[in-house]
Amino acid sequence: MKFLTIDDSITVRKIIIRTLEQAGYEGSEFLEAADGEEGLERVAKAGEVELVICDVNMPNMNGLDFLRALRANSAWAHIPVLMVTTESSRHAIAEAMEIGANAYVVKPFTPEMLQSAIRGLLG
Amino acid sequence: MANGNGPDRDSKAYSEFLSEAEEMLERLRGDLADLEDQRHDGGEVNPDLINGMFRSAHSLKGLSGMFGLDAIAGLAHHFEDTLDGLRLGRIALDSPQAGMIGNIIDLFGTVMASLGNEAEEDQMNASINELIANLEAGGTGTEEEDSQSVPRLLLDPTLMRALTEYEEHRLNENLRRHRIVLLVEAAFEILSFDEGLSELSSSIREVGEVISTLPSPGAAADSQIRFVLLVASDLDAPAMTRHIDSPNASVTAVPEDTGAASTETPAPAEKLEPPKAEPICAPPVHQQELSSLLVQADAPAPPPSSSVHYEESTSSAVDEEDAPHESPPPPGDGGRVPEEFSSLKSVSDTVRVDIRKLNELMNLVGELVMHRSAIGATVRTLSADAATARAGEDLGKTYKGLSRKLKDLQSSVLELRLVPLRQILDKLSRVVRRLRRELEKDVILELNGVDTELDKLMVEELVDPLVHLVRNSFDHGIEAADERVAAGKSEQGRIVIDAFQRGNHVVIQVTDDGRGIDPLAVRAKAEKMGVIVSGMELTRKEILDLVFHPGLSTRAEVTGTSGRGVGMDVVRENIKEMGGIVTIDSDLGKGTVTSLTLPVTLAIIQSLIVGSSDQFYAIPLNAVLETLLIDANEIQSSEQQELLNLRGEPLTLRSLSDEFGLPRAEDAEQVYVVVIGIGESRLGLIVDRLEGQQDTVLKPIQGPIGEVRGISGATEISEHGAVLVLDVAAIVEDTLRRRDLR
Repeated sequence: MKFLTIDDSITVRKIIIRTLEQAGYEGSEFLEAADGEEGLERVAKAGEVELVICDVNMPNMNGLDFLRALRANSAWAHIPVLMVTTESSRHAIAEAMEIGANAYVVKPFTPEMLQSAIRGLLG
Repeated sequence: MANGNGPDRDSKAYSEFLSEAEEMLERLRGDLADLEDQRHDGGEVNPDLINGMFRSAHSLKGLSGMFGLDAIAGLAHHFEDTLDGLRLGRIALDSPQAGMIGNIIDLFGTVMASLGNEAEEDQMNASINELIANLEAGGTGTEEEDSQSVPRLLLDPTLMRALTEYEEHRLNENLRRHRIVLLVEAAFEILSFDEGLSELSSSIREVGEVISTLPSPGAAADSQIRFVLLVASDLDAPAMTRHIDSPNASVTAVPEDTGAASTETPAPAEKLEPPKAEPICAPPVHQQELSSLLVQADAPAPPPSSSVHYEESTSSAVDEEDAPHESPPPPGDGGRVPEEFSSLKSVSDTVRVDIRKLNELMNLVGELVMHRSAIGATVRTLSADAATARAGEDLGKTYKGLSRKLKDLQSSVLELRLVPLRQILDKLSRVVRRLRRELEKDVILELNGVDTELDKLMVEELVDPLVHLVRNSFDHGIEAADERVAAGKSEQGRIVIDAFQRGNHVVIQVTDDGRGIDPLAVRAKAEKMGVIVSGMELTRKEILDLVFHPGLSTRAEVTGTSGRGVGMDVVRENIKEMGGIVTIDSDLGKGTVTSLTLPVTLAIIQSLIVGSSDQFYAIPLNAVLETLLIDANEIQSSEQQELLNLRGEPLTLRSLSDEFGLPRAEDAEQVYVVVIGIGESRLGLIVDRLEGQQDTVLKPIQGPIGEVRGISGATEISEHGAVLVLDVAAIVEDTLRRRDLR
């Protein structure tokens, strides 16, 4: 499995990766990116990614624009995306779902919340 | 303050959070200093700066929430609101709320430092609530969007919908300032789009603002990805096209909605209208002032030093390329152009390379060097025998030529990793500017040798130690103005940073003309703390060296400026990790000079760590062929040499303990053999333990030990401390020669 975590906070990225490891994906490859642009670059270079976990508010290219770019490209349109958002940017959730996000969690989240969202996506 | 939710405070995540929060605060402090600078200079404040601060506050809020630090999250929440108001123009920069930003950042610093101390945490909560109450008293700002004065644009509704509130605000703000709004569309190859896109963005930022970067709805080939950038600039579309000068980008002006077209139906035809070349808004005002701006921007730069100044020549070269220019590129972000101007040229003739690829290249060169050693051994063998001496001589010549070229290759590859110190030294001048304001001390910073080059990895590691040294000089070294005048010094203090290369090392010196360090005071404190025995005889240098002892500082109180916890001992530790040394010298009443001496590069090699007796050694992995675990009775001894039958071939064995005169492990039933090889030669090294593989940084051994045959240097490994690196070529050669002599 190949996961991509996009968040401008390295702490959040590490928490997400650790949660994924605890959820039974410890042998997987974990790619990281600090903004949407870097996220796209990782996807482009990795070839195939099984799941993207993406923050909304980031420098350079925000999470929604990342999602738009992902969905605009036929090779990537099918990649499941889990959006991570904060209570104050709840309005972004509706927009993200409209653009084509597959699920979302709201920060601050517990490991259980994240795990159940991921299980929901990966079955 | 913690409610017990979220990750444990002892967890790794928590300590990562602390260090990230510390970084964010540091960045916020820097941004605030820049913000104040820009306000002092007058003119428009760079919107990216405020937006960046907003994002930092947003991240702080999210993070502290995840760790159950509710009070901090609450403070961050209000901080975020304030900055949101500022970036959206609802709160004015000169409002009382904006004036509290510095207080908020300071409080964050204090609160973060008190974490873990429950008594203090409670006190902090009170301070936080008080500050929040003050913020709330200021209200949330007023909606002052003046829609009347903003021209309406015929912008694609899909695009318009994709804009965030902030981006929309920036669009209006630019319209209010009569800038031209352009759409720049570009397609890039998927695999390299990041380079193309960032090159395009930074090119545009030289002459305007990138409001939003959106994936383009336009169809693109599968191997391509398209973007549309919403841009505001004083340049019109043709001028922007010339400025960008890229075949795969197209620029169109967004036409103004004159009211002639029906606004209810944004017909696609309007979008496709041929772009109008003429500007919709009033022409830019300060075109002719560009040159004077260039000079102005130069002025606040650090004091005259041959090496620190923005390269005007580069800027004007870019200008000429733009000719014929009816509109030379005016500043986009409130006069901050010149700094970014100079980057255009360097972008075009620079190739970005992944540092891992460079490491691979380094390793290959390292292997070549080992093969060369093997050839050297052959040369000696051939030359020693009269029958082959002639051939030996010929090969010897070739060997010398090869050695020369290999040396060139090695240094060329090393050079690839080198970057000038300019970037971090510039950062230091920012630190000084901020301290100057915070401490109200008049101090100038002089930078010399900013073009001195150092390994990229090291340059990044150097930031913290250097910032610490500069702060120390500023805070503890330089006296207050009246004290200086009384001592017959000029009112203005002076910190000089000199960087220069000395042989294979780079020396960075931080010199201040402050009060200096009193050896007697250091000595007294060291005695009091039991670091040295009272009355112990020490030279002046030895006494000064005591300031690197953990916890020893000549001033008792800790000020916010010089930070807590990080003392000179940490500086020394950091520099040691890079293979460097720190020395300090001081003249009481006249000043202090701290010198960092660092190797030019950190060449990384993969090593196998082995243990013999109580010692550890590193064997460069590219010389290791295999490792074996054998029964001790498999070793055959004959004529003082030990052999192992390895798949039918005799392998000469050599005990690492014997090699370095260590006691041999007694009566071990099984031993490890590391088979090492150089060229065609093989040797089995008997070791007591295998400790695993590790990336190691080779450092030369300095001091009284000097050169030891069989050791090529030392390396630092976290669990084992200093570890010697074996010179495989020398060990193989020696062992085989010994065997041949028998």
